[in-house]
Amino acid sequence: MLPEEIDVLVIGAGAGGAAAAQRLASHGVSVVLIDAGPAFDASDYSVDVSDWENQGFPSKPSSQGSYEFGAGQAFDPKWDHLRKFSKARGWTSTRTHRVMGDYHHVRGIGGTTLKFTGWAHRFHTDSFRLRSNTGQGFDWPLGYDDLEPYYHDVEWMIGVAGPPGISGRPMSSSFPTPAHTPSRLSQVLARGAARRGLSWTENSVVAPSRAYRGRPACNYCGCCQWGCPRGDKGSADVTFVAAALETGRCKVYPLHSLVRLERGGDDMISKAVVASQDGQLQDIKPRHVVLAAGAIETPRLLLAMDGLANESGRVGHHLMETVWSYHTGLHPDPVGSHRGYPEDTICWDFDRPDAIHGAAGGGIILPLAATERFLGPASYARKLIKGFGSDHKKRLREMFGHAVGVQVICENLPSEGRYVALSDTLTDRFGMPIARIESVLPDADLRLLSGLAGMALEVMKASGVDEVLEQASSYEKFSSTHLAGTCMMGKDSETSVVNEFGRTHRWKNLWITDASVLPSMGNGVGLSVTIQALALRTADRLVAAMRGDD
Amino acid sequence: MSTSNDNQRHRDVPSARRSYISRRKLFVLGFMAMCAAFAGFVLSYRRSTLEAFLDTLIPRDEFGPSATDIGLTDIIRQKAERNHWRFVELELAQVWMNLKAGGSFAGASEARRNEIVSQMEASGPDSVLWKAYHFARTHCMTYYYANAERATALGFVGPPQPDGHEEPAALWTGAANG
Repeated sequence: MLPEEIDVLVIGAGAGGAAAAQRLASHGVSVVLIDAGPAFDASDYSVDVSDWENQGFPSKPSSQGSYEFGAGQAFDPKWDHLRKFSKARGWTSTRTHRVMGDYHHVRGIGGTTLKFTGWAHRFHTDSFRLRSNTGQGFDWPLGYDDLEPYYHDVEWMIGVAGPPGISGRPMSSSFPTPAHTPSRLSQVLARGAARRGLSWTENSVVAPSRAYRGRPACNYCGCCQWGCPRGDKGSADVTFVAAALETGRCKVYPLHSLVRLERGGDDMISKAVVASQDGQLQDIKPRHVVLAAGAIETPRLLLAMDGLANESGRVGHHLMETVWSYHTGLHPDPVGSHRGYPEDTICWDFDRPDAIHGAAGGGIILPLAATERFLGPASYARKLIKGFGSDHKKRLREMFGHAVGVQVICENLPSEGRYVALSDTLTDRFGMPIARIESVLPDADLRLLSGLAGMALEVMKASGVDEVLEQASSYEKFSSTHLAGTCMMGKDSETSVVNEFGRTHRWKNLWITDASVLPSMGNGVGLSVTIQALALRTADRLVAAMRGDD
Repeated sequence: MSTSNDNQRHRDVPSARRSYISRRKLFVLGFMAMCAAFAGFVLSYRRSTLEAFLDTLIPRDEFGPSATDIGLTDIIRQKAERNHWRFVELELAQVWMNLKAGGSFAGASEARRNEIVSQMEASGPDSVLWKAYHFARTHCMTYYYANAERATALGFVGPPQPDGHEEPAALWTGAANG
């Protein structure tokens, strides 16, 4: 049974919820942290078993939410160069419409940080003023300087490994552990980038390069997306949740779902109804509620509760997704691409709003091998080495470890064709409609993606890879991890859902601390550190509100 | 109702009645045996075709065992049986392979089998042959190589944990230094 009267109920134990819970508990506030998904531990991850290459992040009961997609957009021949192909298979996509495929997420204690690679990125200072700089998208109601102290706290909680500094992101102190020595794959790409006049530098990531606060240093297995059995990767469960529990003031309940928030008088949420896995309902009376269920579930819950906090009508709108492409080939020299931190380097040169002529917002380019599972021979055999027979075996032996890939992730501006709504027909086990994800990539997005993909291909070619053997992009398929913007923060209650501190404009004790509050995507960078920095800021303001200081 | 006389009569004339039943039974049994033999022949024929196909994809050679050496035949068959279309495509492809081989793909020379499978590979994404080829190839490669013991015996890496991979050699000289 959950305690009935608590200070704060935090719903969702992913990046934002875990960070908020830890910060609140550290201020002496009693916190209950629930998640609809299960808890995971090292024994759940299969990186040391015989058939490890067939594994991935484990699926457990309730570890995936339910959602549906709207129809995929029709393809336009002018973007055919972004279509998926595989030369090993002799196949180029002939689909007529975009595939609405995957929303990559994990429900559980730690959320999607359990399976992410773990980029620890701050947003560029200019990303907070996207509209001012480009005339498109939205400005944030706060600036980089407001968030900087919280970025620092997040990085030091996690033990981020990174270089001494990153352009456009002034830091009050260095990262707590030095950058990982770039893998040979990264070094090869860096040489290619240099030949094209581009810089290629160490990435900042959540796995420490030295032992940090009881967690070991990364040992470069490359399997971050399988789940880290050593606990070196700074996912939310081994960092913020562990720290929250240490305070003794936070209780964590996996497999508990929010069913309802009841409106009380004076614009306050009076009660939360929570269901355990066996369906038993329990009333909780928290003084404050922090909703952190992610950019799909948070708007879904609000819309399903008769449009709670949707006075502006903007809940579910402004959905932003991961706009990406990847390209892989084989290098003539061995590059040991199965070793190293998966995306240990990055090209920041396009991390600015005018990076590509005719498109607003920038993007990043990173190495790619682990993400497409080029860590063992089976993926090479299937995806990179053409043919069959003894020649195939021989070629596989020669080329294992030669995979070189690049990936691009871009800014994604909100558009009216992309939003979260409620399903007309499908409900969850509590009778609440599930989410329907609608997505159309407008030409502006594709222009940016096309321009950056061209740059990435140039780097790959200059690195010594003559032929692209495989390519895919979000033009072909909705396949998104970074989803944001569906309960956007803003100063104007007519056009946004929460204020700059994450408090809903109307409901005084209802706060949101997940990716749904982000007004922009930071040129495609990793979102988790920014989500967590905002969550800490929200927690501080919430505590101030409890003390009557706001 | 049976009586002792009836029983006696049965005992007295068993051969006639048994003879009548036996003939029918014999006919049925004979027919069933023929069917079974034919089915056995077909199944065996199908199995040998599939085995030859899989061993063409991954042959036994100086680099390691063949697909059938490690028992992939049943795995691929079971995979196909779980998907109606894949099953039909694989069956049709085997019929085609046998026809191309002049009756028995399994009996064809290695060179001829390679030639036939190459035609499947080149037949284009819309063809049944291409789909059957890639279905079998994908699953063969997956099951053959995604086994840590076999992969290490073949000279590839084992599971990434618990040892991880060594820290990359410190060749890094800084951003954009080539």
